[in-house]
Amino acid sequence: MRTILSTKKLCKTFSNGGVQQHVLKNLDLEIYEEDFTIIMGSSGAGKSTLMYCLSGMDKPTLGQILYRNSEISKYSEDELAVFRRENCGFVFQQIYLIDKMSVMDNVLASGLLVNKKKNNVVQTAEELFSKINITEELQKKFPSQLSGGEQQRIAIVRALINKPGILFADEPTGALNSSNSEAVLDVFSEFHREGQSIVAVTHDLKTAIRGNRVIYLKDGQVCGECILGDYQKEDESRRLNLMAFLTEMGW
Amino acid sequence: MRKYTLFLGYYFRKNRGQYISFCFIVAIAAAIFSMGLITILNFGKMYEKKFQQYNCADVFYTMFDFDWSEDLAAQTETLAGVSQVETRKNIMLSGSATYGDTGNTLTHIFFNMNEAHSMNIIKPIGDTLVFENVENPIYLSYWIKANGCKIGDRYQFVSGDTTYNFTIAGFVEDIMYGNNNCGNMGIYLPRDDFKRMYDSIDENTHASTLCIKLTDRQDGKQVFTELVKNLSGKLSYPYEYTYGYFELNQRNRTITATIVASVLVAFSLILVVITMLVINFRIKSSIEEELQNMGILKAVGYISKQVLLSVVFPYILLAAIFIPIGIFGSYLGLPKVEGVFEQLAGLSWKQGFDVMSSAIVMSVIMVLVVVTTLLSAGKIRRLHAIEALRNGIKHHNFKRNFFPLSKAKCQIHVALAAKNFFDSIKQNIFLFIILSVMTFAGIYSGSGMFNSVLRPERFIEVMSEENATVTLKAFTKEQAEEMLGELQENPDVEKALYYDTENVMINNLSTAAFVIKDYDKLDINLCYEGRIPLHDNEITLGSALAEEMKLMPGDMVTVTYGENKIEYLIVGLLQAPNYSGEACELTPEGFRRLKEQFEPLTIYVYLRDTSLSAAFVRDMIKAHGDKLAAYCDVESMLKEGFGNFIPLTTMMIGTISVIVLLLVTAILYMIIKTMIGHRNQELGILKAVGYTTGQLSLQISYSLLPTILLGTVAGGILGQIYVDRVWLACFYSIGIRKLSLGIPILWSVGIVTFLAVFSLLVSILMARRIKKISAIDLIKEY
Repeated sequence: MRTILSTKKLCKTFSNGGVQQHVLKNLDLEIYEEDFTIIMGSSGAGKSTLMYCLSGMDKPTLGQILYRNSEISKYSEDELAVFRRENCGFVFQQIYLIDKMSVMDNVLASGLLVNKKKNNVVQTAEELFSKINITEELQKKFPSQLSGGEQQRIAIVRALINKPGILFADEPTGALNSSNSEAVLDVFSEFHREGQSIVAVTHDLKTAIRGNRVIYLKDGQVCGECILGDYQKEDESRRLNLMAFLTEMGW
Repeated sequence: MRKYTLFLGYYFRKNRGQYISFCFIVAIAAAIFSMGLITILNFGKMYEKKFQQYNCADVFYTMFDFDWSEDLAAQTETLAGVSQVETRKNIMLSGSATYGDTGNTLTHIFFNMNEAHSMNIIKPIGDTLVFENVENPIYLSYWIKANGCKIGDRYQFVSGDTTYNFTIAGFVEDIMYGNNNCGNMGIYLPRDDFKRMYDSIDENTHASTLCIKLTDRQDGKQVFTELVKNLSGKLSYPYEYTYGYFELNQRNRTITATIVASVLVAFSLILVVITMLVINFRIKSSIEEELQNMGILKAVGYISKQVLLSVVFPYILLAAIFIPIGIFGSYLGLPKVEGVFEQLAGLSWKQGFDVMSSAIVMSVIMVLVVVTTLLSAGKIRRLHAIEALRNGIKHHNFKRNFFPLSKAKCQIHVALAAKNFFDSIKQNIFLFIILSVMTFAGIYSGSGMFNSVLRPERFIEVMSEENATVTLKAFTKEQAEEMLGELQENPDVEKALYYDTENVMINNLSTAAFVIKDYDKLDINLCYEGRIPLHDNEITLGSALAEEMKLMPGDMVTVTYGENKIEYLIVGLLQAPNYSGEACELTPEGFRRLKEQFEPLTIYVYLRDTSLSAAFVRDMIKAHGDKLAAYCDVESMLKEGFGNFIPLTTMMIGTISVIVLLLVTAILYMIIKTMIGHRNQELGILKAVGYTTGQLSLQISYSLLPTILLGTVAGGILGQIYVDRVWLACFYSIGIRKLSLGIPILWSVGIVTFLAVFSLLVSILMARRIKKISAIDLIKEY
């Protein structure tokens, strides 16, 4: 297993009204290529903070973050922007599509930033849309004209348009109903099967069960991890395995 | 009230910079408005106060003693409305004076300051010198002091080949003959010095001034007209005597200040309009930004009125604070303005706090702010809580997708900027209007600068009538013909022609009649409608007279001279600022129908090198002194008169230019801040997916570029076309109906380019604010 992303003594401290809050404390972690890594933990454990530090969206207070042996924790804001556009894809709980752009434009705004050959980008986008059943008609619509599930699937296409090394997802089904959630999770699973590295933060068991590795965070440190193996379908043993791990972690 | 102050705190923390910009614009508008109003409301009043303080003559007329008859005073006393008549002996001399680094070529009228008299009291302003300690002491008009002279300075006056040296012993506010606009300069000598001069000088320079007090000073013009009627045809001297009446003198002394104050008020009103547009823009943007919060307020039970007040309250409160600050600021700047107007009028003006102008400024701007805020926030009344909570119609977006990226032929940043341009069309229209207005103001400033500093002759042409380099007046027809013949042969003279000004009566009013043979040789065509008179039955009538009598070209008008009354056909209309549009043009043959013995005697001389005017006058006096009834070095006189106007115009234009630039900065700041505020989420998403700050700020600048270019170019074109109309509005009251004060196209291009580049630089700098928005902040916010 090749490490794609690792942290060494990662610390993140927030200062609020003069009071310092240590969210991540000397955290050491390795994320492996082609894994679907799930980060879980109670509220305030530092899950999202860890994910945004890993993805170069936020800077750590101390410690190192290495992406394929490059220390991104030393990058400037602009270098991090370039890092994100070339290596990362993002799927957010609130989806965050740009309202005033059509579905296709939302994807192309991201794709054309990296690849100057428009035809190639459009072709890739169409392939991805076709994989997640977004029709040509839907591609012309604005996000507000689509359902939450459709919007989140489009957000996944936007995240994958530049063929990122790693796809980050923060509670990707948090704002969706159960049927839409399933559809979105199926998309994640499918891309994972094709070799896409994914890191997802979630509270949701249905999402967590899709991962092959679950890391549990507590008080800013890795408290434990559980290897579930590759997801084929949701079977009882896999669910029990995960529940046992989470119970052990005090979830 | 407490809940509104809570909202004020919230809104102010959120939009601090934009409120500061708003406060700045309101304060500037209030300051300029206040300064203009203080001047308009008080400068004329100050003149009236001084007029009463010094018991000035409501009508005065100074003439040489050889035309004076002792009966004149008695006859004048019998005129209707006259309550008192007083005569004062004096000496009237034309010549040129030098003092300090400057001088004047005004006709000097020397008075005995110790003569017992009740009208036109002379009272020194400030310190004086003891006469006994000074050689040839004189009191001079405050105008000389305001133009940089001080007590103890030497004052040299040269008339013909005689030089008079005086020492300035004090300054007085001389209402009759106190500044260059009066055309004469009053000089006040101690009794013995006056007597010595009076006894030793040529008797032909002895003169008398008829001072008339009226029961109602507003009848000044009528009484003056009656006086002229009595004198008409009886004067032996072919010289236009010096005279004045209350209205005329008030206009002469306050006209420049009034024009400047009108320009200030006009400019401040433009600023007030801009302020209202800014309020409208900000409130509408604020409603969009705060829609969800408003929904929450409505959902928890706030009524529409309360939500509306929470939005408008900060603006009303800030306006209530910053209008008085602006008014206070105007009083800080007032001493400078007072100094300039003192310099122009030659009257000491120390203005205290003026309740009226402050109340007007406060109430006008305040009412406009309240009305604009309430109208702009009217949408809140129609807003339903649920709609607001769902962020308006955001969830049903059926907008057109401008510039689909899949079809765009340009670079991604340009395409995204183009999308932004169309998505922010309202802001762009607002920016377009503001930039157009600002560029128009820039062109106006540029035109002022060009015409007052670089090409002052253009302003002079507008503010006066035909100006030769030198004018000469002969005693007789033969002398005039001899001089004209010589001048036409003189290689230094470009051209020389007859140009006489006579007094006629039209509509029972004394009117200047320009009697000219060679209209086609004149530099300035005063006629702005129709044509100049060609035949002896034709007349071109002044704008003010035509408007007052409701006459147009094609109508007939009766002109009176002495006992003669002749009807003329109006063939055109003319502007005559020196006579406030109360003038007319006739041919010599036409005027002879009124005055049979008329012969042209005044010669307008145009030198090839105008800087030689003083030397030319000296040479003419040497060669033809005995033939000259009068002469005037017009070139020098205009330069002196205009010399005061240039620093004033430069100061005004400098101020306007700085304000334009500050406003452009403040308004661009507000717009870009609002645009960024609207796009916070979008910019955060774009940052998250990998756009750098540089790329996003470039996109913002690109998206503003078309508006900046279109706005400045539109303002430039409008300026090029309409700048003359603005000047015309400023000068309308002095009878000007046609002028050309536009600037060369290259100047317009330069101003437009400068403002476009400046705006673009400001937009780039402002767009750098985007650095402060991080993707993570955006995500945390939601």
